[in-house]
Parts: sequence; C-alpha cells; structure tokens
Amino acid sequence: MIELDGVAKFFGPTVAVENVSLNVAAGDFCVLLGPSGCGKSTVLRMVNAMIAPDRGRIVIGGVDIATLDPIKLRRGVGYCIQSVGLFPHWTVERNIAAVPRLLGWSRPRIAARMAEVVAAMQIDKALLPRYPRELSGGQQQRIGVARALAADPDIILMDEPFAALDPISRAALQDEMRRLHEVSGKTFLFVTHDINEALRLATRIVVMNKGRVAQAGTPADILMRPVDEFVRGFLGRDELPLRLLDLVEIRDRIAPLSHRPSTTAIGGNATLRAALNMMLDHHVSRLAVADETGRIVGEIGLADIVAGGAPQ
Amino acid sequence: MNAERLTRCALRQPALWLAALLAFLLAAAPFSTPLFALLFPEDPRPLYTRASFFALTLAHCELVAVSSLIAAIIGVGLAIFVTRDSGRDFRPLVSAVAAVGQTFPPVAVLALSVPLLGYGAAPALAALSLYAILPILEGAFTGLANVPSGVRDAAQGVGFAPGIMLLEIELPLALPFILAGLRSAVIINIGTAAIGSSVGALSLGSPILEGLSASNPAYVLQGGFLVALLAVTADRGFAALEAAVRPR
Repeated sequence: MIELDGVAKFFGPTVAVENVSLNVAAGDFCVLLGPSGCGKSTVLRMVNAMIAPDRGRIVIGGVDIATLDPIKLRRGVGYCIQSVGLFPHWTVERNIAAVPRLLGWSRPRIAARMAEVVAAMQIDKALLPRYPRELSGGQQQRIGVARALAADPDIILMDEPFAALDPISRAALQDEMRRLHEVSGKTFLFVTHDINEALRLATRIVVMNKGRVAQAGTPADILMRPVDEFVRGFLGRDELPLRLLDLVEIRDRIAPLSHRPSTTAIGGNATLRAALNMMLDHHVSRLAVADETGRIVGEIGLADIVAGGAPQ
Repeated sequence: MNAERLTRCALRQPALWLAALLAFLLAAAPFSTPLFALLFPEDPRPLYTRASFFALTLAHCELVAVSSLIAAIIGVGLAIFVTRDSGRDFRPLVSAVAAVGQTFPPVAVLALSVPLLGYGAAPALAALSLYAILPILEGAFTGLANVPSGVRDAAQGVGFAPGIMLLEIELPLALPFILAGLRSAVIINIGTAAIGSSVGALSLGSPILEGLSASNPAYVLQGGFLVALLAVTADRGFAALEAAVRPR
C-alpha cells in the first residue's frame, strides 16, 4: 500500500533520513518508533508530500507520489497530529467536516458521513457546536482523529497524536485506534517514541535511529530478537521479558481445570501481563479463565506464564 | 424575542450613545450661536459658519475612511507577503521602511506632497495613508505570525491549498490583531486629518486652523471638541467590533 524505496532527506548538512526502504501492506498498523530526531516524523511528512525526498521513491497504491498533485494526495489520506492541530475558530463539527468540505462534497453527503464518524469515534453530540478550547485534551484528540477519518481515507497518518495526553485518555484512545483498525481494515502509519504505545497498537514496528531503519518486524520479532544494542536499549533492556507478556493472550497458555479451581477469574482474551497483575493483586498463583460468555473454561497458573515460549 | 435581545444588547454599546450624541450636536450646531456668544462675549462671530459642521464632519470621516482603507490594503498585503515563504526575507526591510514612514512629521509629508499632488484632499490622503500603514502592518504581521504552527501544519497536512488556508484559517485567526492595528490607525488618522486643512482639504481642522490664525478660540473649541468626540466614538466602535470577533 505504501512503499518507500531508498528514501533520503537532508536539511542542509544534516541527514534527516538516510536510505529508508519500507513496505507497508494494506491493512497494516505500522508504527514508526524511535527517539526524537530519528527521522520518523520526516518519513511521515514525506509520505504526505509535505516534504519532498531528496533521493528515492515513495509509492502509494502503485503510484509514485512525485507524479501526484500534493494537495489532492493530502486530501485523500487522513492526517492527524497532536491536539493543537484543531482549528480554534471553527466549531467541532466544522473541524471534523474540514476535508469533505475541501473535497466539495454535497451537504447531505457531509451530514451523513459526519453521523457515521461521530458514532464511530463515540463523540458526544453535545460537543459538536462547541469550540476546541472548551474541550479537554482527550476530547480534542478524539476530534482530531475524527477529522482524519472524515473523508473515509484508506490510509491514515498519525504523528505522535497522543503524546500530550494524560495516561487515562491516552489508553482510551489507543483502545479506540485498535478497534478502529480491526473493524475498518484501513492502513495506519503511526509515529511515536513510546514503546508501550507501539506494542499496544502495532502489527508491524519499524524502529528508527539516526535517520535509518534499525529494525523492522512484528512486535514479537523485535521484542524477542532485537538486532543490536540500540534496539535492545530502546525496548528497555531489563524489561524485555516482561514486555513479552503483553503480546501473549491467556488463551494461548490455558490449562485444564484442576480439581480445586481458583475463585478469581479472568477473561481468556486478556494478556499474560494482565493475568500476572491479577495474581499479584489477589495474592494467588492460579486464576480461573472465562470465555466471552463468562463460562469458566480452564485455568492458568504462574508456571504457565513463566514457562515462556514464542507468541504466535 | 430575538429582536428585543438585540436591542437590549445594542443599548449597552457606548459607541451607539456616542454616535447619537455626535448626531445630536451636529443637528443642533446651527442653533448654538447664543451658547457660544455667552461663552465668548467679546467675539463678534462666535460660531464657525464657513461650512456646516455636518459637512466638515462628513469630509473628515471621508478622509479617514479612504486613507485607512488604502493603508489597510497595503498593510495587510505586505503582512501577507512577508509571512509567505517567498517573502520572508523581506520582513526586516518592510518593517524598517514602514517605521521610517512613521517618523516623518505629518506636516512635512503634507508639505512634500503638495508639489506632487497639488492642494486639496489628495496630499492629505497620501499623508494619512502613509501614517496608517505601520500600525496595520504590525498588527497583521503579529496576527499572521501568531497562527499556531500546529494549526498551520494540520491545515497543510489535511490538504488546504495555500490560498484557501490564508482565507479560511490564517486571516480569520489574525483578525483580532488586524482590527487592533486598524483601530490605532483610525484613531491616529482622526487626529491627524485635522492638519489636512492646512493644504486645503476640508475637515474638522478647518475651524481649528482658522480659529488659530484669526485668534478666535471659539472656532478652535468647536473643531477640537468634534474631533475628540469622533475619535472616542470610533474607539468605542472598534472595541465593540473586537469583542464581537473575539474567539469564544
């Protein structure tokens, strides 16, 4: 869906991006991860034709974007940055409708699409006539995401959208993004410096350092086989085994029910980390595991978590 | 219901009361000879009658309006130019030229423009326009430069073309600053326009100048009071306008 081939960008004598090649498949949630100044935002902005690469090619849907009108290209992909990007003199409703209006959609078409987006992002309708400054940071960012979705683009680009939020709003919006990705099948390219955010969201992670791709792969790949000291350090060296727990669901480690089942139960789709948390919280070493309907289907013990093994 | 609220809101505007006062004084001026005769008993002709105060005020307002409009077009235009990528390098130059324009005494500008433009309203308009450019330019520049970079970035990123971005995002966000610049320009010009009468432009300065040269303080008082009232009315009018466009 998005292909970068040997892309480089220099700002004067400084190398911002050097020889980056990437292939983001349709439906991927690709996270560009790295410290500030590693070039990840520059890559995103090049994909949106806001910066022209000095070398290399960027191809979207089979078309070299250098041959496209940049303004048309940008209207065709969703773009979302930190909450400051809302237009302060426009109501929430007008902010969300910005791109459809630019595209010249008819009023009824905009109204119909607005209703869909507002429902999908679970935006309180009472907020629509309000101005951005009257909203909390979390609400503003929700509007920012809605604006990126408004014209129903196949590709959504997000540049550290949740970096300025409090942990609760951030977690809520991350869940929202996961759900959105699952139900929409859209392709996401998402920039962050937050490893936890990357692990929560990504189907593919591209770790960047000093303008180059340090490692690209699935979250499990990268966690289990970091290629070098930089990647290992960035992932949080000592906590690597703990982070792996985030990637495995309880149902993958489920054991048959023993004769004296635990009274504390957890859902099978929760992660091993959640199970470990609950064990620590309740001072137990075994938990009953429930399916979606709440029926107890098995159990998981501390040993099952520690046993390890690669996640699928 | 709505009309009633609008009326109540309007009644709270000092600008309207001041404008009403001005209109009343202009209507009453022809009948005010006894009042000024009382104030200036030695004066054989205590009321300026060479032109009606209504005509003088109208001409004065016209001078101020036309010159401010010219200055607004030039000032806002220059501010837009120096905040584009292509014009950024000209920002210091433009600022310096506008500031130097401001340091010429208005009388000197008038004297210099008479040989070029002749007597009458034209040299006065030229001097007033020149004077009004700097505050408008500075206001517009501040407003445009203060558009948050995140807003600009988002607008560009979602596909606003530069022209649409200027009209729909940048200028509306800069509007309070542009109005503030226009407000100081207009107030300065209401005062300065009086000097225009020295090169033959009709204005509220005409009675002031004649009063000064003929030692008739009544004329100076009449012209000066109306200029001051006009300035205060315009100031309150702009205050109301700025409040109306201030973001909620």
